[in-house]
Formats: sequence, C-alpha cells, structure tokens
Amino acid sequence: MGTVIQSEVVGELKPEPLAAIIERAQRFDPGAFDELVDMFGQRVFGFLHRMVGNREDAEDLLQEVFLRVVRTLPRYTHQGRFEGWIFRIAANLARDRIRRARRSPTIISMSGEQGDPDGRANWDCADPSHISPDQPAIQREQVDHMQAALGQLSAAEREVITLRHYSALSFAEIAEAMETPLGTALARAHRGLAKLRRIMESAP
Amino acid sequence: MTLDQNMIHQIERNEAWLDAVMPPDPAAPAERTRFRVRIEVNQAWLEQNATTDPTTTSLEQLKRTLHAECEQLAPTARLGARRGSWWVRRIAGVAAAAVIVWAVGLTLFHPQTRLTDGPATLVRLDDWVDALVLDTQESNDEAADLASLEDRLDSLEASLGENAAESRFGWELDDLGDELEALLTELG
Repeated sequence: MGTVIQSEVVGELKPEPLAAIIERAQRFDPGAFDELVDMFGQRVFGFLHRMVGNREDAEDLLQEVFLRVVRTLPRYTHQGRFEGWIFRIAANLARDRIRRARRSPTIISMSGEQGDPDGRANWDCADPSHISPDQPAIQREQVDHMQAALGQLSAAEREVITLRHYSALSFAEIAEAMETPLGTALARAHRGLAKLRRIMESAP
Repeated sequence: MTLDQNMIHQIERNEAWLDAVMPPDPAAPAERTRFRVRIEVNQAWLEQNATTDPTTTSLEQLKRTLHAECEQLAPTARLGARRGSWWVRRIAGVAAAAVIVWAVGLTLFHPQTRLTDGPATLVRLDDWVDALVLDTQESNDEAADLASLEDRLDSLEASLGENAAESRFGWELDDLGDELEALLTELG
C-alpha cells in the first residue's frame, strides 16, 4: 500500500513517508491527494459501508470525507496520527448521516422496515449490489448475514467495532474520536462483539 | 486477571473471530473520488491564491463582470462556477466576452432575430465553458487542452450556426472563429 519513490540507490524503491505526502497535499498537489485516496480510500469506504449499511450512502460519504480533508488539511498539523484524523472525519460524517436518517426516516430499507431510534435507519440488509452473481451462494449468504447482524447493533456499538476493524486505531484513540471515556468504548466493543458473534453463530 | 483484563481478553478473541468471518468489501469508487477531489483541490488553490495573486484577482473581477452582464441580459442564463488554470479561464473569459458581444449585437440590431436568441446563446455558451473547463481539469497536457478547445470551438460554431437561422449570420461566426483561432495561435 502507498506510493513509492526512487531511492538514491539506483533501482531500489522505497515507500514515500506519509508525512511527505501530507506536506505535498498541504501545498494542493493533486497527485498527493490521489495517493491519499489510494492509501485510505478502500478502508474508509469499508468502514462507511458497514456503518451506514448501504453502498450509495457509503460512496457519497467517501467523497465527502476526502472533500473535507482537502478543505481542512492546510490547518492540520501532522504528528503521526493522520489515520486517526481521517477516520474521525469519516465517523463524524457517518454519525451525522445516521442521525439525519433517524430524524426523517422516509426511506424504507429493503427489508421493508422503517428506521428505528437506535441508528438502524435505512439499513439495507441485503445490499446485493456489489455481489457478483458468479460468487458462490454461500459467500453471498455470508455477506447478507454480516450486514444484517451489524444492523442489529446500536450505532455506537457498530462504530467502535468497525473503527477497530478498518483502522489501526487503539481503543484510547477510538474513545477520543467518539468523545467517550475509554471504559465506555471498551464496554461497547465487548457488548457489541459478543452480540454480533451470538447473532452470527445462532443462524441456521 | 482483573475484570478489565478479562474484558480485553474477550474483546481480542472476538476481534480475531470477526477478522476471520468478515466478508470482503465492495470496491471503493476510487476514480470518482479522485476526480471530485481534484476539482476541489483546484478550487481551494484558486481561493487561496485569489487573495494574493493580482492576476487571479483580476480574473475573479472579470468573472464577476461577465456574470453580471449575463444576469442582466438573460436572467435564466448562468455562467456557473468556472474552474481551471488561470490561462484557461482567460481564454474562456475572452471567448465569453466575444460571444456576448456577438449575441448582444445579434439580439439588438438585427431586425430578423428573435429576442430569445441572445439568452439561448448564453445558455449554450455556459455549457460550452463548463465543458471546456471540465475537460481541462481532466488533463494537465496543454496540447490536449488546446485540441479540446479547438474541438469545442468547432462544435460551438456548428451549434450557433444551426440556431442562427441558416447561414445568414455566417460572417459573424467566421469573425468569432478567426478571433479565437488567433488567440489559440498566440498561446502556442
């Protein structure tokens, strides 16, 4: 993952440090932003997809995350916590989207149920849009099943679990991003993971 | 083992389980994201430099003037937000000014021209400028930009020709074409 630059040693390539890419991005070098999208886009998208539960919203939010990065990066001071920063933007945007959907649950999910007050609005349990018909049926079932199981968690539980899964953040950093005490973040992860495992393993 | 340690141990076990069972994610729309980011980067750069670079400031003024003229002439026409490098904006600005002058002349002074021709021309001009700027953003290659500009000029001429009651106003179009060709030659 990441970009490479020509080393002083002929023929040897080494990754360009993230700090250098950020510095170029702060000077509005479009190539640097391309590299940031390549480095973080897929994982941020995975996080957003699991958070909001449908692909269209996740695609929309992914673009919003990077547009916000462009606007705020000039004021960002790099201290080795860029990943936490970008996932924090993604988490805030996902939370806002879920909150808005909860306030006006006009869109009915594919299961036919309206959004509930616990952040499960618009949860697209099936979301088969990205599953190729050629994929084995068992894999398709697994994807549907995981989406549905995540949809049964509260938004806060889902956030802490997916942040841990897709980013390399510690629980302390996640607690900071979610503006909660460390104990609360740990309790949510503990409770959410246990619930998720129970749901997944109790399925026929 | 304390309660917290026990909790962390269980979390770690369940996280390992989740890593094993989590299905693969759909591919992120990377190309679309990169494209939107590039537009935003250009805009941010222009905004940052508009306050310090006198050329950009002048261009901003030119853009505002052109926009005001369009508003006055055709309330429904919008030049919209134009982005791109400063010279592309200059070309677009000069081209816009030339077509506006032509459209105003056509609308006001030719007895057989309908009054709606001016606004319609401005709407087409708006589309043309937007398309030109978008094309330019997709490529940093100046040669490609110029080729694209020439293509757009051709299609603009064709479009104006169709809408200007056959070839009665051919000479105006030729003049406009010559003016833009000269500008392109000057820019190399």
